[in-house]
Amino acid sequence: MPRLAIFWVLIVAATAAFVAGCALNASIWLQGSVGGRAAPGLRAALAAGWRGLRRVGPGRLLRALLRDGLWHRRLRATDRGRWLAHALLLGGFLAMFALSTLTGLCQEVLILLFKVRHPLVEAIVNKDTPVMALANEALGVAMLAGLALMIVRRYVRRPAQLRTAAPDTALIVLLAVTLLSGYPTEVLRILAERVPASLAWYSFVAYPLSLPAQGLDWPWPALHDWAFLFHSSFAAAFLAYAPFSKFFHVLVSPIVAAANSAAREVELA
Amino acid sequence: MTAPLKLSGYSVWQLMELDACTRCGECVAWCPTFAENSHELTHPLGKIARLTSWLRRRHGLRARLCGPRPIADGELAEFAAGVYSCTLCARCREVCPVHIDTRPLWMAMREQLAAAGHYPPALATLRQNVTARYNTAGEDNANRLSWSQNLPSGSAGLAGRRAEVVYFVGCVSAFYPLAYPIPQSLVQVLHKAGVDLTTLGGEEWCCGFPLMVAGLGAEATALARHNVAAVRATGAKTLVATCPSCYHTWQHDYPRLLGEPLGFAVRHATELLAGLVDSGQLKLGPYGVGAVREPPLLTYHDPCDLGRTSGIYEAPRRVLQAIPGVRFTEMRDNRALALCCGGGGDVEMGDAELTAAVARRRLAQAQETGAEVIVSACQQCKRTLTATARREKARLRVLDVTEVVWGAMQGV
Repeated sequence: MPRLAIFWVLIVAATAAFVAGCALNASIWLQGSVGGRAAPGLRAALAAGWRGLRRVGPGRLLRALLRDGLWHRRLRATDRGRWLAHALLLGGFLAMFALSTLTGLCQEVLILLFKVRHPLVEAIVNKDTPVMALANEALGVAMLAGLALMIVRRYVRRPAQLRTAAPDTALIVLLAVTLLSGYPTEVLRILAERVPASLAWYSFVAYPLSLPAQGLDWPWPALHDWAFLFHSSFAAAFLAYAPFSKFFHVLVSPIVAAANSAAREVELA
Repeated sequence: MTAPLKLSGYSVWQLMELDACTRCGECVAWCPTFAENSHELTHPLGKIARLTSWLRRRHGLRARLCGPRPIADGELAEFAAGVYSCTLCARCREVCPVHIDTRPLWMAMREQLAAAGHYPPALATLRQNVTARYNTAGEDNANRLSWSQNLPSGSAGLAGRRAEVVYFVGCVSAFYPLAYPIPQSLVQVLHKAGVDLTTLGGEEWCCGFPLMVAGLGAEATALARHNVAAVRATGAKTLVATCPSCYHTWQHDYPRLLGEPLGFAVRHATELLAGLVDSGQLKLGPYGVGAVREPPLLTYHDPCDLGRTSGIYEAPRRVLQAIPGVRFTEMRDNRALALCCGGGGDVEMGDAELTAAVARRRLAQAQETGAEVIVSACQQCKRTLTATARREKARLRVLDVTEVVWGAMQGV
């Protein structure tokens, strides 16, 4: 089976697991109560949400989402270091996710399905386009830096307030392997595709790492295929595991932070 | 036994909040009772993590595929010990980076535990007192005006008449002599300011707050209905409370419980006093100035139910700072991050030592400032801090804002 076919099977399976996990969590929420009524159903829960939105107003809610749900004002005020680690990891993750989605969309839909051959589309799918190479590399470094700060805090500094259980470590390992395996994959791609130095330098981490191997006569394309699948497998596993782990907070906490912050503002006004 | 997992005992939103917790542990660092008892199920993170793990055990993927796994009675008892050690001070809500509204979550947990019979035995007595005698002390409710006996005019005009303002005294001020000076001071201050004031006398029933925080709030609606009818019968336009918990219950819980507006305003005494100061109706002189000494240095302790829960931080400070020549300082933890006195959440009834330990920490913060008087605006804070100050032989007086104001009116 070709490399990309396996990749898509992995991604589709992981996405299905992700959606199923989210649905499972939502089904648990919907067994709660709304206004004292047990298991109100999706429509009643959405209606309650709509009433809440009207009470606080969309403008106030949007402000709260930006300020408290995404910018994390409180965390920033409490601990700049933690805020930076979180911002690097979350910001890098969201941007990388957006970039990958855009690339996938261009490759699989615009080019393969609709045969679009616009230079911009070509540039987006080409990993050696300077902007794309630089963006991918920089975002990967940002996420790694954020993860490194988190690991140092959790396992080296170990502040008394932290509680580290096995699932926390599993999640960190999964994330670390996913991120770190991206670099050998890129190194092997540069070697396999014999990317000229003038372009490869935009991969400012992977290219220098590839230099010592430039003279070796190894089966780089095959090695790249395996590395790519290894990296993709961990990314897919991470995606599939997310709704069953504390990483699910990435989806829920911005909503909760925004709504509670806006509601509190109204209550105290 | 699966009582805490009766999902309908939590709102849809609260179940979402459990998933929003990032396990960052910020709440652990700020939890006043965990700082004293080191019980892993006392701090917010511990409670949320435990409940979430039970949810997964009963309703998660594995439970759906292989069937739910039971929760042992011993696990529930251990959980209850943690949940009932919380003073419900809500400091965790103020520091939570994702703004989880923690206090209602803890109260929902208590309701579920109480329904399963897992609550401190002393709370059964509390329920008996409130439902049978309509006050937390279990005293004859007709004696609610005992505190007024030392007033120059006694209890004359303090009950059984119509007035502009009804003063809801609250159980602690009515039945615990240590707190008597609070209603005595407020009534005299308001009379002197020309406020037309009455109380409900023996018709005042416990507001229901102690039952609600115990997780035994089923009877609270009946108490609310009686109290609201009694206030409406006086024709009052305003209800004033010196107890922040009574205030919060009237202001926020009664309209929700009854499903209708009350028809009169609800104010905390400090708001009313601040308004009277602003309007010039309250004339204050220097406080505590003797012939040979300067005024004592005051500091203010924010009661949890007045500050964090009700958002009233500035009114009491404005009143104190309106006193001519006042010397005032803030404690390290103040306003939204103020340390609890330990007296909330019915903790004292189950674990008086834990309450005293939290209070000691707050006293130490006051002592750091060099203050000679801790002023608060809550009779429970006054009780807790006074008892601990006496036990610790601390050279600190604990007074209510109303007492300080009455003191400042003496020389005018």
